Amino acid sequence: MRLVASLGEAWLVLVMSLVFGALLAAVQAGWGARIDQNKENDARGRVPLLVHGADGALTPPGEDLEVKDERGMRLYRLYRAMRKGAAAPEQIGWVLKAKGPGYADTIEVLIGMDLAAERLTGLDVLAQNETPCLGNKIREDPWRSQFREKAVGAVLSATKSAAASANEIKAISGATISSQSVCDIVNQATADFSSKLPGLRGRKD
Amino acid sequence: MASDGPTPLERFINGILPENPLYRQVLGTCPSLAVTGNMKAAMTMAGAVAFVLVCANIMTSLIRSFLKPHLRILVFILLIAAFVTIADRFLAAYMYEMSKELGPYVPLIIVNCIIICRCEVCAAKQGVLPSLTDALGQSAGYALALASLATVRELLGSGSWFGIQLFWGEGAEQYRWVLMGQPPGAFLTLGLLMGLSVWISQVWGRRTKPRVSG
Amino acid sequence: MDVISQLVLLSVGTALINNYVLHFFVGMCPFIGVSRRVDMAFGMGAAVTFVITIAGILSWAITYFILQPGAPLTRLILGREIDLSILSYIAYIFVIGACVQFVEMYLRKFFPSLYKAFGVFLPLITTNCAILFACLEIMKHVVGVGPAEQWGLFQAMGLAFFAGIGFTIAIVIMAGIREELDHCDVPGPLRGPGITLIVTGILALAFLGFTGMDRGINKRLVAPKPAASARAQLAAAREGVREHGGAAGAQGATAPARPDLSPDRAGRTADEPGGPARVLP
Repeated sequence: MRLVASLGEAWLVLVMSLVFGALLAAVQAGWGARIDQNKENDARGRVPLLVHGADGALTPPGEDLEVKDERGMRLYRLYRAMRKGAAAPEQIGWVLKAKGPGYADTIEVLIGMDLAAERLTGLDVLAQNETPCLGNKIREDPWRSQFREKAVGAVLSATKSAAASANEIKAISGATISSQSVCDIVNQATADFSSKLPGLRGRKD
Repeated sequence: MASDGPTPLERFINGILPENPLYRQVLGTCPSLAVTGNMKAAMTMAGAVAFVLVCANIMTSLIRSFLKPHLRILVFILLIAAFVTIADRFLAAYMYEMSKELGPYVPLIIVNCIIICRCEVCAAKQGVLPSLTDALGQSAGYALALASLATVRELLGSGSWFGIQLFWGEGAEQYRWVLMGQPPGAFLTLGLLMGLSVWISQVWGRRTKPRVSG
Repeated sequence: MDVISQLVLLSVGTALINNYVLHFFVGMCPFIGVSRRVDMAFGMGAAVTFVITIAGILSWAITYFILQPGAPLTRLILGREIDLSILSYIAYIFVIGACVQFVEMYLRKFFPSLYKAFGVFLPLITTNCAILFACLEIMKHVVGVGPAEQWGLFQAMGLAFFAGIGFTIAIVIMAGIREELDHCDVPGPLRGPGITLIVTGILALAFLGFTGMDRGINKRLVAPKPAASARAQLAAAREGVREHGGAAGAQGATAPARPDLSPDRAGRTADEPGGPARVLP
């Protein structure tokens, strides 16, 4: 009796739960695939922009490589940058997704390298939570373009004055730590991979 | 029936300035400080709030005769949470960059006091048309409040408006008030703008008083 | 050491550096409304900390076992993997509402004077953005994250608890300031929410000074171990290459990989400890 009475009170909530459950299931069915695609394309879509001569290159999902440490935590993700060749897609570069500590939070970057892994071809910032209007500027193209044509394996450092040698990047004024953090991430990533990449280049998946 | 309470049109106009949700009722301060770093994000948030508010108000007024007293809030929250999920998924599907920038503040619309307050005060007691105009008025008022906050913060903080750079050159780079993009600037701006709105209403009240009293 | 350092980083990061009120702007309504007297503010802070911890634990459990794609319980009951994460927000808000209801009933039965002192603010804890924000943070570290990086119960509980502590710190400081502010001559239009927000801005400015503390703590507690990490990455690179190749490719992969790796190892041990990179010949 008590159960029936409380059901009578709560029938509206139950009906609404069913209706909205169905509505949300429809939303998931309709937009779910699109959202997953957006998440995936966020990194993959930027890969062609980071290597030379990409001209609308494809980076098929199955070609990614991952490097994990002993605990199974993913350290880096490696994308192959491809170009539509005459017969089959040919690889023209590497793009490495790396992350490290920044001034405020973790910074996630994509580092583009040429096929021989001798020169950097580009840098893109995927995720950062740096200070707005100051450290935020690491996202902007003028600052990022400094990384092009740097030698892989060179220890980059951010300087307040104009970049003097080939190993220096001009830091964003007022955001030296953010700039140096990006340099540290690039240094660590290229140091870990510059010797391993040529061995991986010729592999077929 | 139409004589009790304001007419639908009056409800709409009320929501914009006299009963502005942010400046008068001091509701919904959480997202209004968080997303007003630039105009684009602020307007996207205003759009999301408008969508949820209108849908929630309409649905509440449609089912108002079935509402039991102690399950009322539960029903409101279920409604609002469902519509916020839809709005959040829409942003993730069609405006992914903006969804990343707004981050967790879109789901926080669920606990935005404006919407629960409007459902409770207005939609649960009125028909569909008054609820709709009330929702539209409050959304317009909220959008106006967010726009005022975001304009000040974006102009002073990065010298742009809606992403269009308005001040440029060496001087503009150096004299940017960077603090405006960060939490302290947000609090200061909202506090000063709130004081400004109170002062304006006081001056307005003083000016219109002699006309009213007979 | 790893657990302790994680705990220290989490506590400092959540309570001070990324303070929920002064950095993330959540929990503003009770912050402006309740922070008039220090004892009331402390009571509100304690209540919010209690609710946020329990809500954090429950929402972690629901997300981990039921809602995430490939969750254990749904796999057990339905027999296949299903992604229920679209119901997350509804689930969290119901969990929070239920927690607040239980806290209300508990207080009314065992601490009636406290219950009366809170008045209408106790059910309003449901609409406190800070609690839902903590649940969303926990969700961010559970859904869509690899199994090795997923947060367990310990981290979720730590985040929720220290978020509440940070909220309490902020609201008690604010109450202390406002008690003094009552004796000040505040200009007319700014009285009430106006001056409260301005003072909060100055407080947020002060808390900005905590930024970067976690990097310093990280450097002290998590000492770099160059030899071990090099060995790990060597092994991992071999693993990673082998995973994505066929059987024939795997045999071929280790052979060319080895000559590449020996100069690498020599280079590493010659490096001074703590240096992240070196110039290759």
